[in-house]
Formats: sequence, C-alpha cells, structure tokens
Amino acid sequence: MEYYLQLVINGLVVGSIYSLVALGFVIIYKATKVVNFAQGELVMVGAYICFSLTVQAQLPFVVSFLMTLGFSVVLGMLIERLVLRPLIGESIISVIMVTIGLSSVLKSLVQVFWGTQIQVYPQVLPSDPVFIMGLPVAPVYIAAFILSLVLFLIFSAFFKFSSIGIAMRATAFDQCAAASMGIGIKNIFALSWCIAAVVSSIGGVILGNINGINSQLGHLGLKVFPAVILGGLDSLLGAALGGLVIGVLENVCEGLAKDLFGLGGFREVAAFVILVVILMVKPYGFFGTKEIERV
Amino acid sequence: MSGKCGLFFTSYRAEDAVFPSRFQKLCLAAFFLALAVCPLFLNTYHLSILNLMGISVIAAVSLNLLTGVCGQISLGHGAFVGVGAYAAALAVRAGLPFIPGLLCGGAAAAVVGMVFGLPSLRLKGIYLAIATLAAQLILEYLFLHWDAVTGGLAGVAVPPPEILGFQFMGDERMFYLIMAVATVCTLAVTNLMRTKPGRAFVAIRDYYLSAEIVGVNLFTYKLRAFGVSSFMAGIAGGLWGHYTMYITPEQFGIGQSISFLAMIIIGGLGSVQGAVFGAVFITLLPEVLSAGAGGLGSVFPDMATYFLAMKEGIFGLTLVLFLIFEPEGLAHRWRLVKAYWKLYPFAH
Amino acid sequence: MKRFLTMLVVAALLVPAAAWSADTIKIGVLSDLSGPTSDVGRPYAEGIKAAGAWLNSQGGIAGKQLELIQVDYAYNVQQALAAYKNFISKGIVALQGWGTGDTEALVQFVAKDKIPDFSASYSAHLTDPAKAPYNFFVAADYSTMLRAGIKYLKDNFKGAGKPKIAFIYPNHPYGLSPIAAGKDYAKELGMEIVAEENVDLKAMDATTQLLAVQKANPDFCWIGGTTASTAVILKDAKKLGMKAQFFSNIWGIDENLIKLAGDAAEGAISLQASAGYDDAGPGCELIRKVTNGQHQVASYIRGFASMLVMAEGMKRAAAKGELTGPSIKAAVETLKDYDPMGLTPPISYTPADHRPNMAAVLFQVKGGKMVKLATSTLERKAEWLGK
Repeated sequence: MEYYLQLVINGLVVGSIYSLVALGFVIIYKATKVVNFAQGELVMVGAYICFSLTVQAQLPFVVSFLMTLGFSVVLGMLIERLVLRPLIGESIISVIMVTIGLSSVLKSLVQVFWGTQIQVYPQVLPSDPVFIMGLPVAPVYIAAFILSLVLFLIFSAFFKFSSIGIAMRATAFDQCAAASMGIGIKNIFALSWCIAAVVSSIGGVILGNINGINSQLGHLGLKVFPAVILGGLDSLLGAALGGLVIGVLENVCEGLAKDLFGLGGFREVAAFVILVVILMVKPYGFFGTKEIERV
Repeated sequence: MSGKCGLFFTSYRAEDAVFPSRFQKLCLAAFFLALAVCPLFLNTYHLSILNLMGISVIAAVSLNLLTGVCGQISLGHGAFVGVGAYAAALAVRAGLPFIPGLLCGGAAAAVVGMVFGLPSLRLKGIYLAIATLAAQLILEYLFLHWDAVTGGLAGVAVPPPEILGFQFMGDERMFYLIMAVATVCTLAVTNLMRTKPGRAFVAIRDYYLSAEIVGVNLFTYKLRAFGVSSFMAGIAGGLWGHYTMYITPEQFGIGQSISFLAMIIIGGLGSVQGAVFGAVFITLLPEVLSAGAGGLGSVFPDMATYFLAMKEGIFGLTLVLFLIFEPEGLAHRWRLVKAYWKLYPFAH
Repeated sequence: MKRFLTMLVVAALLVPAAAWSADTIKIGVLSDLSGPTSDVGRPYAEGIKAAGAWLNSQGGIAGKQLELIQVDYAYNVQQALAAYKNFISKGIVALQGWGTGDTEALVQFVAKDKIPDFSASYSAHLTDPAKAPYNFFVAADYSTMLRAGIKYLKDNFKGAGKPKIAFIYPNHPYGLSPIAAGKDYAKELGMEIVAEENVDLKAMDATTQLLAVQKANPDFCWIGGTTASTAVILKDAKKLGMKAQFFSNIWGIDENLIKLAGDAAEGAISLQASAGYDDAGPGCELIRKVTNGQHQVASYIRGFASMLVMAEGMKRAAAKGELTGPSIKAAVETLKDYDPMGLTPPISYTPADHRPNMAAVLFQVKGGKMVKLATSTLERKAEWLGK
C-alpha cells in the first residue's frame, strides 16, 4: 500500500513540472486562442539563457534569473510581432504550422549558439532529499510544486480581478467585440506572449536544475497536451490540476500495464491514451468552457 | 471555373474535363514524355530524389484530401503511412503478389484511419488535431512493441516488388513504378473532387452546419475522407517499404507527419496541384540545403558543422516565412505567375 | 544587398560542382549533428574527420588523399537514404555510418552496392555476415558488452549465494537490443534476475521504477540508456539510498555523465570499447597532440579508431591491387588482432564473423574521474554470433 502511495506522491511531484509548462500554454490560448506547439522550446530557450548568464557570464544567480525574465519578455514580444501578428485571422492549421516551424527555428538557434552538448546547470537548491511519507523527494520538485501553485494563484487573480486580465479574456472570447470596446488587441496579444514566455523561463530554470539542459528539451511541449486537454484548454486551474493528474496517471498506468498486460514502457503513451479517452468523453476538459455553437 | 480566355464549350462534359484546353493536354504529354525519358540522363542520386518525391506526392495528395479539401486536420498521417508499409510488407512476405499486397496495405491503413477518424464526429479544429497527434504517438508505440506482427525493434525486411515475374530492383525501375502509381493516385483524387463526395467534402470544410442542413451526412462523409486519404497513405507506405527494402518503427515518426503537413501548406491547402508542388519542394529542400552547406563548408571549413546542423532550422524558417508571406502557398504563386505571362504586357 | 546575397548563395551552390575532381578516395560520412543523438554524434564525427585529416597528413592511402563527404541527416531515415544515394553517385568506396536508424535502413543497400559500412550502431545482428555482409564496427556489440560486464561482476562477486541482477533499459530498439542475450547469460552464470524496469531515454524521473527495483534488492543493476537517462537513474538511486552496483555501456556512462550526475555517479562501472583520453599509448598520444590537449569524450576516440581501422583495411586492399568496396571488405576481413594504435582492444574479423573483439574495457567512476578497472574478455562463441 505504501508503495502505491509513494507512486502517487512521485506522480504529483513530476506532474508539477507538467503543470508549470501547461500554465504557459494555457495563458497563450486563453488570450489569443492560439495553440502553441513551440511551448517546449520556449522553456528550453529560457533555461539556456539563464544557463549562459549564470555559467558563462558568471553572474550571481538572482541577477541572471531576473535578466532571463527580461529576455523572455523581449522574446515573447518578438515572436508575437514577427510571427503571430501576420497570421491574425488565418485558419487554425496555419497557426499550428507556424508554431511548429517556430519550434524548429528556436531549437536550431539554440544549437548554433550553445551546441548540442548536455550542459550542467548550476545547482541553486540543496540536493539532499526531503522525505514525504517515506519517499525521498528532491527539493527541486518541491520548488516546482510551490512555484506552479504560486503562479497559478497569481494568474488566476490576474485574469479574474485585474482589468488587463479581463481584457485578455474578452479578446479571446470575441476579438471584434473587444476591439469595439476600445481594447488594444495587438497589445493584448503581445502581453500574453510575454507572460507565457516568462512562465516558460521559470519552468525552464526548474527543469534545468533537475537534469541539466540540452537541445532536445523541447519534447516536453508534446507531453503537455494531455495535461491541458484534461484540464481544459483555457482553464488555468485545469492546467495546474491536469499536470498533476497526468503525472499520477502515468505512474499508475505504467504499473497496471506491467502487471496486467506485461507491456513495458507504457507510461510514455499512457498519457495519450488518456487524452483520446478524454477527447471522446469530455472534449472540453474538466474545467474548460464549453463552446456552444449557435446557428 | 478559372475562366480561361479563348475556351468555348459546347457540352457539359467538355466543360467538366480536368484539362480543358489543348495546350494543357500538350504540356501534360510533354511532361510525361520527359518523365519517361529522364532516367537515361539522370544518375542514381537524382533518380532516388525523384522516387522520394513520388512517394511524398502520393502522401501529400492524400493528406490534402483530408485536411485541405475536407478541413479535418490530421497530425497522424505519418503513422498511417507506417501502417500501410507494415501491412503491405507482411502481405507480400505471406505470399501475396505485389499489387494485391499493396492494396492490402492500403486497406489496412484505411481501416486504421477510419478508427482514428471516429473522434471527428465530436471534435473539430484543434481538438481533432490533438486527437490525431495522440493517434500518431499510439501507433508509433504499437509499431515498436507489437513484436509478433511488426517485428518490433528488428523491423521487417521487404523483398523488392515483382509484377508478373518482372522484378523492380534498383532506382530506375522503381522510378517507373512509383511515377505510375503517383499519377494514378493524383488523377484519382482530382476526379474525386469533381464527384458528389468531393463536393460534400468541400461543403463540410466551408461550413459544416450548412452542409448538414443541405443533407450531407457529416459523419459518414468525414469517415469516408479519413478512409480514402488513409488508403492512399497506405499505398504510399507500401511503396516506401518496397523501395527501402527494410522497415523500422523509427521511419514513421511525428517528424514525417509534420513534414507532410508542411508540404500541403507550403503548396497550398485544398488544391491537388499545390500538394504536388509542396511535395516536390519539401523533398528538394534538405538536398539543396545539404549541397549549399557542403559548398559553404568548403569555403569556411570551421563552420561546416554549423551549416550542416542548421538544416532543420532552415526548414522551420521556410515554413514560417511561407505562412507569413505566401499563406496560400506555391499554387497561388504559380497562378499569379501564369496570369502575369498571360496578360503581359498588361499585368498589374 | 539582395543581389549580393543571391550571388553568394549561387556561388556556394556552385562550389561543390567545381570541387575536387582530382584523384581522391571518397568516403561518405553520415552524422547526426543536430538531431536527438547529436550530443554524442558531433564528437564522433569530429573524431572521424580528425583521423581523416591525420591520415592525409601522413600521405593518405596508397599515395591518394582521402576525401570525406559529410552529411548531417539528423536521424531522419529518409535523408540518410538520399544522402547515401548521393554518396554512391559521387563514387564512394566506403561509408562511415552512425546510428541504428540509418544503419538498419542501409543494410540491404550497402550489401547490394557492396560498400563497407562502419557504423557506430553496435547491434549484435549486424555482426552476422549472413544477414549484414557489408557491416562492420570497431566496438564489441551491445550484447557482447553486456555479457562481458556480467562475467566480470560474477567473477568478482564476493557475497554468498546467487548474485541478484536487475535490468533497467528504455523501450527503444537501442535499449532492447542486448537484454535477451544479457538475461540468458546471467541465468547461465547462475545469477538471479530479480527486476526489470523501463526508463525512457528522455525521462526526467525514475523514482517509480527504482522503487520497484529497490524492493527486489539486487546486487547489480544494468542501465541501458544514454547519458541523460542514466544521470536521472543514478541521481534518483542515490536519493533512495540504493546499494546496488550500477553498470552501463558506452553511451550510458562517460565523462558527460559524471558532470551531469555529480557524486551520484561515484562507483558506477562503465563498459567502454576504447581507451580514455588520458591513457598511455601511441593512439592516445596522437589524439592529445591533434586536439592540443583539449579533453575529448569517448565517442571522439571511437570515431578516430573507426577511421583508423577502415584505413588499415584500405591500405591492405590497395597493397593487393585495387581499392573498391568488395576488395576493402575482403581486406578488412583479414584483420587479425589488429591494434589501432592502442585505442581499442585488438580487432579481428573473419568472413564468417564480423565481431571485432569479445572484450569490454571496464572503467569505474572514482573521485569524479573514469579510472580503468580491467578488461573482460569472453570466448568467441559461435552460438552467440548475431544475438
């Protein structure tokens, strides 16, 4: 029994990483209705920028962390201005493909500037494990869990109570109505990308602390899809919870597949099987807004 | 109708023809003549590129039918090609002759495609795209783990195709075979678009609610779109398997699906011509980049590694640039070029 | 500005056309410089090119210079095929391949076109000339390595009763490849297989799997991944306080791993196929000279060695008369206990057996460095060929 409890805790802990990445994803979708296939690469770029400032430029960590956030804001603005703005109004498949193309470009740029070697990250958190219910958990995961909780609370409050947040939700709901109310659509888009880039950088720094960084970190972006679909594409709570749930479900399915079917390595595809099931049963996720079609 | 100047039709049948004018028919004949003769002048490398192009054309045209004409975004095309490859390989190894084996591959892919098209009943747009992404990853897992059928990690060795005792071994012979199949498939899709199912697909893409009101049964037509497009993807997969003579699960990954989507988007969504242009472009791009990188590398030897490694980035960049500056793709650009020449010197 | 750029691009494209038509020996090099295995693919490719440059500086082979034509195929099999066809049209006589993807896809092609393919994919079935007549590589294949490791551990096992062994590997052709052979041999030597878990190559966390392994309390634990996943496993194992002796192969534990896993890597054993950068020997000295003392990882050294072995085959073929694919293959198959300047254990091929040697060089991580432990050699058993 304790073993299964430990599996659940481990799942929650790993799932908090998914939550962090999913938060950035949902922020962009919530404001612009763009599905960002380049989310993983944004995480990777954030991690690399912090790495180069801390290790290569030898700046103290806090300074380089803040500078990374600054860079991310600039990156978000550049991406929105150069790549997404010309595609306002285009069909959804064009937008999907442009983010896919963007992910290739970002990956290639990282490889050109920093090479393909795995780089070791400066350890900012203590490495002695903390014991939860007998399961040793690395502090880095605790930090990820706390961070995703904090970010989730901040952004929920932001979207619910601040005027900019409400403006962003209005833009996502109906661009024309929002524009006619005097909301600057282009500024809203730029802001949402900047916020998402910042959140991704934070996720990237955490991820780097876990196992170093290399140019293949972007694959995490794919892993995030089951989490956001489970939670609902435009729900922050859904993203946070979805990440945790997917983390737990992966462990559980892996164990079940091994015991019942003798299938190895099922955890990689478990999340996607769950994804298909959710799409069939509850396509808008547990917390997403249902799109009601009116004729 | 594109309203060609100087054409005067006296019957509906003539108006409906795929190539209405005599000039078009002549150009097409010249093109096929060139294709038939070119193996005499080209070396193995060029022929292999043309073969890869031919297979990509079949896959791109079929994906265009699903995504461009019917509006159902599919990120799982690479996996359907894989299903066809494995099914055709197993059928041929079980003793079936080549053509029935190929059709078997197509049929298997069609069935799988229709199964994964079932979500299209309830899902649209991005949700369908994500469902097909899940299909791609699940099928990849199956390729690797269903040892009994797919041979798992060891893959499947495929004998070269043989029709009536004539073995298609080597790039030259495969060239003729692949070009023949590609022509048939392209023609089939063009014809399909002129028939009732084709018009139903377009109606579904344009506005599904109106289509339903007019009497198009959304679900059966969407399933049909998935079925036909996956059938042709299976044929492309079978040809690929027979061409490379060894199939492993790694050949049918998410990168292939993205590549096919890039082909139809760069070529122009919704037009068969666009899909062909896109397939040619995307197949040629890495080769041109390799040649360019090799050339630049011999001028700047220290940077050679960097130039070679930027291929994928340049692929992404091309995709992004096309979407920003030419969202309607190469087909649109081709139409503009033709219009310019036709209206010369009165071009705007 | 636009015109200048266009001219530059056109000039760049024309340069290869105007390139050497001089008499050179053309060798194709397939590399992964930007794809999923590029972190080890780049050093390997650099090792090959460095060896080629050194051979040219020594006068080439039979008086002709070597021309290495390199293509980055980023682990995309279609591009590997196209690049291979390109090489053939340019007239290569031999190929330096890379990973499982390209090597497997090209097995039939190189056999048909009769081009020897020296790969960095060390799968056991490539050693059987009945199935892969033109494939060679310079490290013991994965199954042999695993067996050699198991033998060493069994010989040095000091506990009582049957040693317990567990296997952790990714569900990927590379990871699955030696497992069946390893399990059979472990049973043959009287070991008890207590656990088997999957950790993906891209995993961030292996705690769940390690908990299951820890319950079975093995004495030895095989890790069949690459440096990234091995680092995760070792760090999580340290966290859980596992006492098993971990051992891994070439791609699992190397200098990069020590950087990544820090002191969690302490004590882990690595089965290498080549000497370390700092070792003694003419080959290592040469590499140190060529790289100006900049430390290189193991895959660089293996790439260098691969090129040296291929060159030796070419020298012998040229001495006998002609330098073509089949003659190079025949010449390589006459290599017996050939020592590539001390970079790898002696290599022998025969027309019926393409296993280079049956040895694994064991290194252990001590004090943050890879320290050579021993060389474990197995009998060249015929029934193990190709498995």
